[in-house]
Amino acid sequence: MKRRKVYGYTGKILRVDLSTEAISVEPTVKYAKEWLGGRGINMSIVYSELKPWTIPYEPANRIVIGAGPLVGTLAPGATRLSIASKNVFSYGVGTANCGGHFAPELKFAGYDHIILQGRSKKPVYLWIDDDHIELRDAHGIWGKTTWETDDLIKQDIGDEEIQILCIGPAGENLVRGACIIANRNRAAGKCGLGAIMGSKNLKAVAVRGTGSVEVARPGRFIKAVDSAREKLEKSPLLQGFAKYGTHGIWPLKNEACSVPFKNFQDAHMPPEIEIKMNPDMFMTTYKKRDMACMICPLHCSNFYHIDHGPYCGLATEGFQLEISAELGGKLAIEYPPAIIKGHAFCNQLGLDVDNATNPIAWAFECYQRGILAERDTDGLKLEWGDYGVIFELIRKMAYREGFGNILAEGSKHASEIVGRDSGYYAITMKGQDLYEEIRLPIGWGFGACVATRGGGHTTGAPSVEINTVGASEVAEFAKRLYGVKTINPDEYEDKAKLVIYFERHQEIVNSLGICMFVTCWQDPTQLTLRETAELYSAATGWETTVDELVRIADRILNLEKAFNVLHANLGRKDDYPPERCLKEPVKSGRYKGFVLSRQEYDKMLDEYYQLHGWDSDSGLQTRKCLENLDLANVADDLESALKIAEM
Amino acid sequence: MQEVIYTEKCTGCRSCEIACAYHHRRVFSRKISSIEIIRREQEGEFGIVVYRHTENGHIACDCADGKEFCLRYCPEIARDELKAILKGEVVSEEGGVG
Repeated sequence: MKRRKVYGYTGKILRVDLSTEAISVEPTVKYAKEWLGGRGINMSIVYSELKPWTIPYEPANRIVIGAGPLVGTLAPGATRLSIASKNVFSYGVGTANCGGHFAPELKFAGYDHIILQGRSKKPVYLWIDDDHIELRDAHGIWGKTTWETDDLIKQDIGDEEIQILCIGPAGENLVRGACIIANRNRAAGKCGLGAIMGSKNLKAVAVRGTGSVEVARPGRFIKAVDSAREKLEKSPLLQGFAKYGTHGIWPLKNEACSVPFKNFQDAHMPPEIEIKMNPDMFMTTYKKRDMACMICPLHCSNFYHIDHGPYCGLATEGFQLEISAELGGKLAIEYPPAIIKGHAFCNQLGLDVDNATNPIAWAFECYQRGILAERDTDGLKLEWGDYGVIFELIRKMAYREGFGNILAEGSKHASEIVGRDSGYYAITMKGQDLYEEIRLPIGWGFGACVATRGGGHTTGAPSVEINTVGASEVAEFAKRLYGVKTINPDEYEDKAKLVIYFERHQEIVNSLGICMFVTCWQDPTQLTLRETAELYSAATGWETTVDELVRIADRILNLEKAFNVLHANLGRKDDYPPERCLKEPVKSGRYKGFVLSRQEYDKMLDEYYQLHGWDSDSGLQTRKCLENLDLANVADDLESALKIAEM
Repeated sequence: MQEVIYTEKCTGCRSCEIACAYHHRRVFSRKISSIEIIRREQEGEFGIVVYRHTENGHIACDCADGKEFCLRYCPEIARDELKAILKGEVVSEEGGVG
């Protein structure tokens, strides 16, 4: 049968059964118009192929890897890879996303998605060389770090320019916080996807693509690319962002009281410590050059080199703001080279930095309060900022050694193992370890709380509450664009609306494969959904409006929500912040004394559910909402499970 | 065998490669481009190869007038360096910066 030509998409989904070694190809087009691509198609496959009783580490679980329809083209920032599976923390939705160069290479090899299922009898890696698909023996690389794996597979294939996704020892050892790494330092971090790869005995996926991506209307597409790039070049944030990466807003982040200092004991760190992580100091002392993901005009990444001290000689791609807030804030490390080292070390071991630092921060606070002592911690003294001890615990987690074996379960499970009322200090959302300070800014925290995957600021949390501080013209423009009355960090009004705006936005850009950093998420003057819709229409030849994209976004989000309900029984109670963030005030800084109001939070949550057409008492979906989105089958599934709201 | 010119400013984004393929064939690809970025991620070094002659599927570069399509998509900080490389004003030194 002749396959209908599609544009933007390659048109093919590769399915690999690791148990039987069966390899097959399916058409992307059966999903494309309904689910867009990337995150959306991933979710559709995961929803339809996984049973609620499947556990994440069973062979029946799937890992679905997706590159969206704009990936591989000249669309700025169109390089993101989305990965979905069952979340090892919540058993609900597990999604993660990374940049780098893997996704475009996958498209050039001829595939939009890869579905991985089953479990190999022995360690293997998947080699995709255009049409040649092979499972290769991975005994020689099992046990190796991600950096070693990257080198060894390139040697094995004899090509330095191939692209590799791989896991480290943490994934092999089923550490819950294990991630998947591309290009040595680009992490698909959350939800334990690296552990799921480990459970399948799959060390890596390597790809070489010599083909091409075609768009339907080349002239119109290039015009859309040029106008998007022109917009980016005018962005007021661009210069700073290109120079520092997101670490450039470190001082603003602390001023806004949004740093989870010492395991969220405060939301603000003392200025004398903050200044040690000064962005300019990193630029002058450690930065060697600018570095970019594929097709990115922003080049927010930096290459660092340490030429002194205990980590002298370490050369690595740099880190973003999150890492300084985790290692510098949450664990109170004051020595800048240790921030660079800690980030690199987690990447080498294949550990997500959020999920690695948070259980350690929980343990440090338990030690501070006498809940844990040296007899519990393999003789280690857990004193804030002691990076030697922190790195030793990271290593122990990755290899599940001693006390590290408990931490490897994540702070929620670790606190259940330890008991002793230590659960209050385990700061998690839907069971997953948290990086985001929830108290402030309010929209940022709320977005992390309602995120379907359990925390994270990339699926709905806005950045605008901090990023536009001091830029009043931009702030006014932002409010008009997002349709909200306020973006002030400490105000509740319209924050539910703001989060929904970005939930939809992120579903769309994640599905198309565009990095959120080139969009109006990062800066309201950058790419909006209008430009995105034009790029998609020109690429595919399917005229698609913003409203139509938003409708698809709502479908994907509703599918994620239903998956969480069906597979993990998540509901309203799971959209609340950790108890600490509702009880304890910000203790210092500009917002000293601020307490997140439970009453206001309730109202925000009510409004959020109502705007989505969900039932505000239970947080469950309604048939009406689902049928309006042509998801009657999902309504049927929920009804069969007695998990639909009666309205 | 083409020479690799190691750079100081290139960010390794490969926009030039993809733009070049479009210039030649109206498709997006890496393997037919007249320019190739060599990313040595371990060392943080990015090299550029310009194919002056057709080789291994790479189409020979057919413009040297300073208005190359690839330059339009090169990040601003690296554009002058790329322009000089395309003009042949930069030659490689073994393992060093051109």
